[in-house]
Amino acid sequence: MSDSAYRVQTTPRLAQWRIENLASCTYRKSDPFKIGNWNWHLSVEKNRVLFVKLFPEISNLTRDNPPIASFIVRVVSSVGGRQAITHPEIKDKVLKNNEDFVWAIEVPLTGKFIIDVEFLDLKTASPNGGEPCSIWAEGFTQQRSNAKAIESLGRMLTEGIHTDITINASDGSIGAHRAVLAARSPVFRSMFSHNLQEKELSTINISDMSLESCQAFLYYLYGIIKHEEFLTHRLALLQAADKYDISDLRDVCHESLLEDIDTKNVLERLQNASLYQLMKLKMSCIRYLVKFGKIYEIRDDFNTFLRNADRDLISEVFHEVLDAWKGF
Amino acid sequence: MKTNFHIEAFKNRVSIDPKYFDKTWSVLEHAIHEIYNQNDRHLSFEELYRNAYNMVLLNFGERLYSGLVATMTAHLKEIARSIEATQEGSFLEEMNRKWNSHNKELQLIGDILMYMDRTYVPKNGKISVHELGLKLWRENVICSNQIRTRLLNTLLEMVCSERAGEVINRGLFRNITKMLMDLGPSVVYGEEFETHFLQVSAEFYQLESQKFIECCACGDYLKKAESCLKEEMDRVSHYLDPSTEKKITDVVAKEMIENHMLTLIHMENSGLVSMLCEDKYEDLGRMYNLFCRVTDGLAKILEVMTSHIRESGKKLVTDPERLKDPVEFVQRLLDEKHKYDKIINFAFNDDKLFQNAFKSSFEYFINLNPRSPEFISLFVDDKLRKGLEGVREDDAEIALDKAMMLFRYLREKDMFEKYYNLHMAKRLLSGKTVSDDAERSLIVRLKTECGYQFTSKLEGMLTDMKTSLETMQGFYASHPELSDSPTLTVQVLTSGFWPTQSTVICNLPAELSALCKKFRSYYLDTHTDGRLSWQTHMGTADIKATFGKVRKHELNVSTYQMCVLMLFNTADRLGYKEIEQATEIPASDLKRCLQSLALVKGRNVLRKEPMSKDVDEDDAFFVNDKFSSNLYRVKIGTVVAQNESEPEKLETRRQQVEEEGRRSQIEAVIVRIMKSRKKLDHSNLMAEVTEQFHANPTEVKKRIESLVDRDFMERDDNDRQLYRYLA
Repeated sequence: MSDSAYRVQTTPRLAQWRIENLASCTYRKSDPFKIGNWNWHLSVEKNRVLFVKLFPEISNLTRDNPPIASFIVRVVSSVGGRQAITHPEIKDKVLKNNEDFVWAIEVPLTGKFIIDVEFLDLKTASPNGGEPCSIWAEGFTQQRSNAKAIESLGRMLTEGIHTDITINASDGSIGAHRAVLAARSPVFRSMFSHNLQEKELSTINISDMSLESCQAFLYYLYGIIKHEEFLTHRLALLQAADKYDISDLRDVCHESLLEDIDTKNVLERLQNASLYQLMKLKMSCIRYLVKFGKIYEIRDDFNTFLRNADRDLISEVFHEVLDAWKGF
Repeated sequence: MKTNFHIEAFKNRVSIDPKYFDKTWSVLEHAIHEIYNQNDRHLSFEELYRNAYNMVLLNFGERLYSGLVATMTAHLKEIARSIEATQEGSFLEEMNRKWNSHNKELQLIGDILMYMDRTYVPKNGKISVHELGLKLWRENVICSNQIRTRLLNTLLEMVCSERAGEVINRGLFRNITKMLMDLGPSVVYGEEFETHFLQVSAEFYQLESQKFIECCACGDYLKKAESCLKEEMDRVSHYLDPSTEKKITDVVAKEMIENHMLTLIHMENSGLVSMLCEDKYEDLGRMYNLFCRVTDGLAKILEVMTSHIRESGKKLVTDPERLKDPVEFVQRLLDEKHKYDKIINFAFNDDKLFQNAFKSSFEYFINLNPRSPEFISLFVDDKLRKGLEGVREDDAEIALDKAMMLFRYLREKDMFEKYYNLHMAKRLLSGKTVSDDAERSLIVRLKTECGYQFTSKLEGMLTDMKTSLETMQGFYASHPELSDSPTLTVQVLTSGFWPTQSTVICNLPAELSALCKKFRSYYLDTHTDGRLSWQTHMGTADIKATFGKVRKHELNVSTYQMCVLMLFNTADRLGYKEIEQATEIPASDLKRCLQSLALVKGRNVLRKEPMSKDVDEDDAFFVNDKFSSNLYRVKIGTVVAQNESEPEKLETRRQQVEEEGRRSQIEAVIVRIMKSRKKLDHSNLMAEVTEQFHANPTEVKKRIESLVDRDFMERDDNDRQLYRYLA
């Protein structure tokens, strides 16, 4: 038997299986074919009657999100001028296994015939328990639209499309857009609402930020920052988030800094956590120093810290030490 | 030179210029002064913001905050002095201008210090820059001794001017109001202005009301009060805070309405009673709307209105003059009800309290007259006696609905039922009713109000009329040979449904008597368990007569009158006694009958000798060959309807109803005795009845006969004196 005997031809919503010859008392299962999110099989089984089955391939996807299908199945016989037998339309049927749709055809079929399946709709259960939603519905359009919008916004920045404000960092300048900055930060919104220098000269002089950090900052605001850039400029971004009141950027920096505390950076991070009031980061650093006994590994640096750091911060570290020693 | 700094890894020490704060604060302070001097275009927001940001990060927040307080305070003290020095005419303008500038400056300064507001302020329990600015303005400007008093006086003077009809700068006043509200709705606007405004207003309206009450009629005064309320509400909407509206309207209501409530209500010739009498809906509505603004206002109106309605209603139902015409009496009641329904609907906002008060008042006075049930029944009788003929269906329904409205107020509804039963019987038997549908329509209403028991007799009466018609059709269908005989129409009346159960019978003319015998045979053949007794005193007849051998007339007469007249077909002269003997009509009925036939001018188809005004037993009667009339058809009524005066007529009807009641009671006693005894002879039954119930023995005998006829009891076949109770 040739390989093509098991292959199902597909378009995005149509599946067609051509069967050249089917002997009596036989069973044949098609190769998998993909419609929507699932891989499917067709099978034919011939006894006194012909059974046609349609079912999704067994997988985690099928188990967790079984397809809810609406479709039309036809069998077209080459005998007698393409005689067609059509099953009544199936609507919103959950298909989990090969017993969920079985079509018994009484008419004897011989020779060549074609099984056509036209998928009218495929739905999946809604995560929040609402109505099942079609995988071909608006949500996917929304996704593509979002991606395109972000890409376009990024191009506004990278290609300098209709920029109306110049940001002068300590060692260079970048063109940007008042509206985007104002929408992302209440500080920038206030800045542009008063008749001060920024409005008159269309420039912002951010002298406490390097050009590279400033660029990373703007990339984040416009939604196109890369992960490597983020890691490189995390602390600068944290300061900018704190300064310009961008809470989502602040949260992202906070979570990132929590993930790779070590003996080389713990004191610096403790200081930054205190400065920018990042409570979880502060407690993690103190716990790292005290409970994990890292104080002894950085004794010299810690002594420097005790001499120069804020008194309240030193007091917190001291109380943690006392708590840790309570058991002795 | 600016100091740049940053926190680096702890390889290096953090170093701060010892003079950093002083230098940086100096820059900020200078900038704030530039802002105050409207010279801020050259300032850099980023630079200033960054400076404040770094100061807070370096734990200089406290000094930054207190520096701001000091700078702002000093500035506002200057502002206060400047406002204090302003000339009288431009005081508010200057105040407003300075306030607007302050707000703009505050906005910019707050934005520059945004980081401090976001971090240092909540952490240290301080108030925000914006709130601080308002607080300092309140403390240094508004509460300045000179400004505070002057501001209040200026505002109050503007209100006085506007009340005097002058034009003031409302926009400016509105701006000042907004300032006071921003500074503190209760503490500043409420205490510094509103309280005083309300007090001055109370004094103003106290004087106004005193002036108006002395020279205005009630209606005009209320118009003025309404106008004052509207003026004050307009003032609030133009330039005061909306929260003031309730307070100022309460003041106006108290001074102009509450303090003069009783004076207004009882004002001579224009107060509440006058308004009610003269149907002044607009004034009443205005009084209602104004009085509902004050405590007990509506209660006072209600009290006086109720008292007036009861008094005027009492006059209405007890005036002897009005009692002469029952239909007019009822119509006046309906008019009174319509009047007050309209007042309550149009002027009193369909207020439930007023509706209920009116209902109880109306019920009070309609029942003062014990004849109200009878009069309402007569009113309905008047409408149903062709009274609705030619009237549209809707109007007919309306008339019946109105009667039902009054009926609902009656306490003695059973009395109405008795009278209505009587009147309906007369309508039906005399063929005077406008239509069966109209009769049934009212019965449906009565049943809805009072239940089936109340109307069962009435429905029975209508059923009898219908059944009688069918019976007569059947009778003539089975007797085709009667086509040449006089036409007979019999109404078969079921005992118990109809009032009056007299069994008096007279001698009918031979032709009629034979006809009646045929009918009785026919009826009893089809009603084997029935009894039939004739009520000849209730019948009518149409007869043809020839006078003087040439003048022909058709006479409409009572059955008794027919019996008398038919005698003259075979006699030229008949004495009273001969007539009495021939007809066996009871004497009192016969006398009235003969009076109707012989003594009524224009209706005297008989002639009497001797000529006198009354009928005596020695009189003789002849056909009046000289009788003539312009009409072919002549109706001769019974003389009692012509001669009996109205009060006697009403008295007769009342006695009739009372007698019927007594008869029912006697029968009830008889039935109770027989039920317990099962068998009792006549003399013992009489003794027991008279023992329990004081009654005329003759009347008791009649009741016994009636009960035997109606099969409550029967006579023993062997002993005619023995009665047997029938279960």
